[in-house]
Amino acid sequence: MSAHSQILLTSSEGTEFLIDRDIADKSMLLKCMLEDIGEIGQAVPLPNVSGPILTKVIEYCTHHRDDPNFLSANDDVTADIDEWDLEYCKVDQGTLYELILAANYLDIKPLMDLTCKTVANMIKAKSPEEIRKTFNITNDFTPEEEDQVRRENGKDWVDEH
Amino acid sequence: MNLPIAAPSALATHPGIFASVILFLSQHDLTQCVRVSRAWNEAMTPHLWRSIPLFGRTHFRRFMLPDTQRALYKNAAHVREVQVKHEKVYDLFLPSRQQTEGTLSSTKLTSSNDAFAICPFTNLHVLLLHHRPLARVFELNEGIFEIVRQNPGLRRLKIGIGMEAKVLFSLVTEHVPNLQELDIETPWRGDVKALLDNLPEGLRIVRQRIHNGSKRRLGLIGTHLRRDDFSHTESTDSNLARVVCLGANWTHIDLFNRRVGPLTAAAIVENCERLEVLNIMESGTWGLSGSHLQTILTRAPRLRSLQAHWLLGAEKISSVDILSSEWATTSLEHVDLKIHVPRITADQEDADDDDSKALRASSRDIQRQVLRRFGQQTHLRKLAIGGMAHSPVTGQLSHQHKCLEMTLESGLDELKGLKDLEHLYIHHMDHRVGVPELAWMAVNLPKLKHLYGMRYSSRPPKQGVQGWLFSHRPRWS
Repeated sequence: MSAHSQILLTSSEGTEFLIDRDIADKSMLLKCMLEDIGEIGQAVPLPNVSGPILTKVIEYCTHHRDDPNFLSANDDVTADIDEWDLEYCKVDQGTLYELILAANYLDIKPLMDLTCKTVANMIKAKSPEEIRKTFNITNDFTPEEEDQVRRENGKDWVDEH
Repeated sequence: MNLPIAAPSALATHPGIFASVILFLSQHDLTQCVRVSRAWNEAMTPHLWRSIPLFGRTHFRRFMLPDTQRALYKNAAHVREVQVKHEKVYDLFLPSRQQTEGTLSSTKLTSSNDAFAICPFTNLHVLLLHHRPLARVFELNEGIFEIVRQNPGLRRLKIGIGMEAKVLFSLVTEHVPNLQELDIETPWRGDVKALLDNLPEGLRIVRQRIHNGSKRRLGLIGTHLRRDDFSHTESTDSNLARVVCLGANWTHIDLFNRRVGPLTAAAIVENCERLEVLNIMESGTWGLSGSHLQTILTRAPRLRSLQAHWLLGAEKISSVDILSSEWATTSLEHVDLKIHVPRITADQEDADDDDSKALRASSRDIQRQVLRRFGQQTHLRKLAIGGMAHSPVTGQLSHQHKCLEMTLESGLDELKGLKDLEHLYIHHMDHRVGVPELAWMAVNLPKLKHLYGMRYSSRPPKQGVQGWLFSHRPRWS
């Protein structure tokens, strides 16, 4: 296949996206599909991904187009997020969750890891109340339950070696 | 965040996603998460209780709290890994405890601060009962039997307290069909060997410590020999050598920082056919020599990882050792070695007289052959040839001088087959890497992500190197 071959994708609302084959190959789902059925010359429908989200996903894959470490990019749990990626994830929570779902569906591991890491960073080093505030969650425990959960799970096991 | 309204529970409603997020959270973060809401509690609790370490007093005290006991009963099915080191936890295995308290209900637990709580686990994959003095071990058998029998899903089991081999083997062969790793201590008797030979397929004895029924440990057999198996006082040359010979099934030998003497060196060479991983870094300078290493390289077809870095003080691994015979392995992934080659002096480097030219040519030819050998190991991911070494002349620890130059003229391009190479360490050595070499690496080593030694080399970098690194900003600098 030529390096310049292109693939047509259709988002959930029917918008068409023409992208280079090497960009599509960042998604394991698309890569396997294209390898299996060859280039069919017609659009690949992605009913689970909306247009704006697909635009974001393509932006990510295009930025990391020539990254040789693409597949192992976000493996390191403790590593800092790269500057461009950090900017990229500055979106509202709804978009972030949709990005996670899209990365999961399209099977783009580095994007999945990046977005999950971003969510994890919103949880880290916060009290339950702060977490509730961040994610707009209502506390549905009764005071007794809350007390019991605190007593039973209050400490982690890794404080001593 | 500028849009706080969207998808508050999206996290908790997609378990797959939740699990991916949890990978990036610490245990402490999890303790906070389970208190957020019911949905979060349900999703996070299993991860919080996955592993229970019972190492010291603080763990034990927490373990015995009525709150913890109640939580343990509730979450027993989530617990996958239990590790025991603390003396008092073993008391919970005693038969008297089990008979009277083994069937405690959770209501009774609230009144008892001293319950038998080892038994609620039924879903363990890993159970590690670390070493404990041999006294009273047979009293514990029943308790240990109980917990092993209750956990048919066990994959890894360590019983670091002396049990009869026969009893132990029947336990593991009959009750834990999925067991993959066994790590045990048994009295050495004639039947142990026969039992070992009849273990089910798929079960690997990682280590078996052997003692003679009293406190004296006779040694270990198995596949993985680890540095922690020996205290510093135990790690005499004859002791290490006996263990290496006794096992003779080793695939992994890690004697980092244990003094490998001539006997041990000979034993390793003698039993190297199955070796996959050998680490004798910082193992002294009197045992293993370059020629031993050469023999290992020619005899160990499965060798994947070789770390022998520091033994080079007395007798460096010379290029002759590296070159003179074919290596049996083609699957080296990790090599940590210092290589001694003839080098000309800095003055001679640019000299034009015939003598200097001839010396230069012969030195570079030898270096090229060394690098060609490494270039054939196409699975290499980490190649470390830098680092300080003991000077054979003065005995002082210093930078390496008679080392590979790592220039294109001296054979760097022989590494062109190393398409998986990620780490290249050339620090604290007198390499002559310049701009052409850096440019070559950028093109020919596509996976390189760590080049260590451009700042910490024994001479200031060549002209243009800093500028090149600054303007190109390669991912590995």
